[in-house]
Amino acid sequence: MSRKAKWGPWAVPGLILIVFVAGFFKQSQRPPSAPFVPPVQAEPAVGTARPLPDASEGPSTRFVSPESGPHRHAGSLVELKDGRIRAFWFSGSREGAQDVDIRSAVFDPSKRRWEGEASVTDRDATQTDLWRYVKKLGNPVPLRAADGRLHLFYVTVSLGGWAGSSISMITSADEGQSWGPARRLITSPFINVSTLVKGTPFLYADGSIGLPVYHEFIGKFGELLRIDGAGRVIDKQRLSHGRGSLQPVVLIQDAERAQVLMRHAGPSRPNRVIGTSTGDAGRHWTAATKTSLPNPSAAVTGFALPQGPLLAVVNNIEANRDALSLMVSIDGGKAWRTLATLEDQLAWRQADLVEADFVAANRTLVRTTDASLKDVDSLVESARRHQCVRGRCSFEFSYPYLIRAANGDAHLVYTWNRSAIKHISFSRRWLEQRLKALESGA
Amino acid sequence: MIQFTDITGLTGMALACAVVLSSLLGRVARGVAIAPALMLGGAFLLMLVPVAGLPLAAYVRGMIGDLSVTSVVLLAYVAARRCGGPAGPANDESRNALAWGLVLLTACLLYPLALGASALDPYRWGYGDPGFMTGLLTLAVVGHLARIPFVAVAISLAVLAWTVGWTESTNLWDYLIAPMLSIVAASRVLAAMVSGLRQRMT
Repeated sequence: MSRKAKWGPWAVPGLILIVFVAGFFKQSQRPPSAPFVPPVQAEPAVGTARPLPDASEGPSTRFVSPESGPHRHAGSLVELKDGRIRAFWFSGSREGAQDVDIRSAVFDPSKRRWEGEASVTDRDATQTDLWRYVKKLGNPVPLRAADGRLHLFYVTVSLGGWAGSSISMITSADEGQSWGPARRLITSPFINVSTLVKGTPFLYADGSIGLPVYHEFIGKFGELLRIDGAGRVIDKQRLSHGRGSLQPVVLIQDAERAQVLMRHAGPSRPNRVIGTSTGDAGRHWTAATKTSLPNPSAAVTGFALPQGPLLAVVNNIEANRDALSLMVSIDGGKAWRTLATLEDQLAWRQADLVEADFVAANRTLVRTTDASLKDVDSLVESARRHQCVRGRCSFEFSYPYLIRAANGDAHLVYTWNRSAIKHISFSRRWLEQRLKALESGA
Repeated sequence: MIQFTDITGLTGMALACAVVLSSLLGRVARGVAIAPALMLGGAFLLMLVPVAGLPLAAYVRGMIGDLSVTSVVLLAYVAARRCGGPAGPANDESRNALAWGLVLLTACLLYPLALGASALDPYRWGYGDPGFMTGLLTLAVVGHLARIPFVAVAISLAVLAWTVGWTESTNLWDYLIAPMLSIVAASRVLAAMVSGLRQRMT
């Protein structure tokens, strides 16, 4: 009997047996589900961060990158170990242009100033790292991993528009001064389209990463990726389905409970933020439904305070993005009240906003935002260039990103007229004072 | 530095492009006598030529992503056959059609659901769901018993590649199926149906 004839009948069963024993072993190594890392009480400021301001001090404002010129969009934040805040955004001749790069700068609360703006990565660097063609870059979101390193997740597109997006990731071991090579996350079976990031990443108690993502190809819906410490996707969950929601952000209330808020994206009226929640650390999510928060199909952001209230920054209107508010809910997301109006240009809706009015209004807005800014006109001109078409203009305050620092202060960045990233810091005392005033009905 | 998964991804893509290119070249230049192995090898090397800092295969890879292991195995078989390699198991058209039909059915269910057609996301099973693994084991055994070796071997090799982390993906589905494989499956099923209809009519 030949060797082939002797072993032939057993070759395929043998292969199946060996392979599946190995496969089941690998499957058994997958980490079990883990609770969320709950929000913690504020600690005193460390390092260079300045002490808490007076209770009378309100939110302070400034531009992250005030020089005129490029289109700027999709700001995000992470706190550094010394209490400074690092921002990321994308910038280029226009959204989706090949010259867009991801940029970063650092805010020092003791100096109340943004500095050290630099490019983090661009299309060329990303495609060289990934060994595949990359057409354009988009939204970046950072996270401090359990091992102390910073991860930056950002959108990359190789084919088509934003519907063709995938997520790439880079890592820094020196607080964002230098970054390692990009890695691609594979998150979809259909030529790895279309997954995007916008919401704040978070940690599970076992050190794995929760990354809220969304699809906008055939469907528009939110998902939650779970990524291990090495940057490998180990699980994925649906937060919604269909064509009605985008850009989830997870507001973690405690180890087991979290609320998710999502941008309204469907044709159904009224336009409301879409919400879902979990009571078992994300093992199960409720069906996604409309909340009471108005939403003009624009990104939302927020977090839960350790005492229980939820904070969110939204365009609390049903159309356009010309108003932005800090909202609070003290009943777990059922009812929302305005804690502070951050932008409000609704009055211009009645008028035909021509360039001269837009420029004059923005000049006032820029001076109000940062009185020390010297070159007001060039930023105003930049806003005119990005927001006016054939002499008619519109305001845009969008893509908010809110974080809570270890000392309890909150920091918000958002797109200001597609020309700058605006930063508002809220002191812990001011927040507490406003919450108390709201609770007492003031 | 290039990662192992970039090498496997680029090699798979270069092989796919080489098979397609050499096939096209073979049809265009029918009168020219070029050894199939030379044509395949030349096309494969061509896809690794850097253009603006990236191999040509990297541009295709950027567009359509990495191929599934099942696709690469099939392409390798096609390439080997063209170069005069041994034929596989005896051809059984009906069993082959059944295997391609299975690929097509899987694609028709997986892709719409993974792209948000319902709350159910079968793609999630690919991150190591024990039920999914058991289902694949059952399918591989049934494929072997039903004498459809393509099914048993393709599933086994896909699970093996997933276990060792052959590509960037950590999801088993990406080792089993790919859109390009699904398109080939659709064309094979269509061809089988047309052939069946013709036989009935004659």
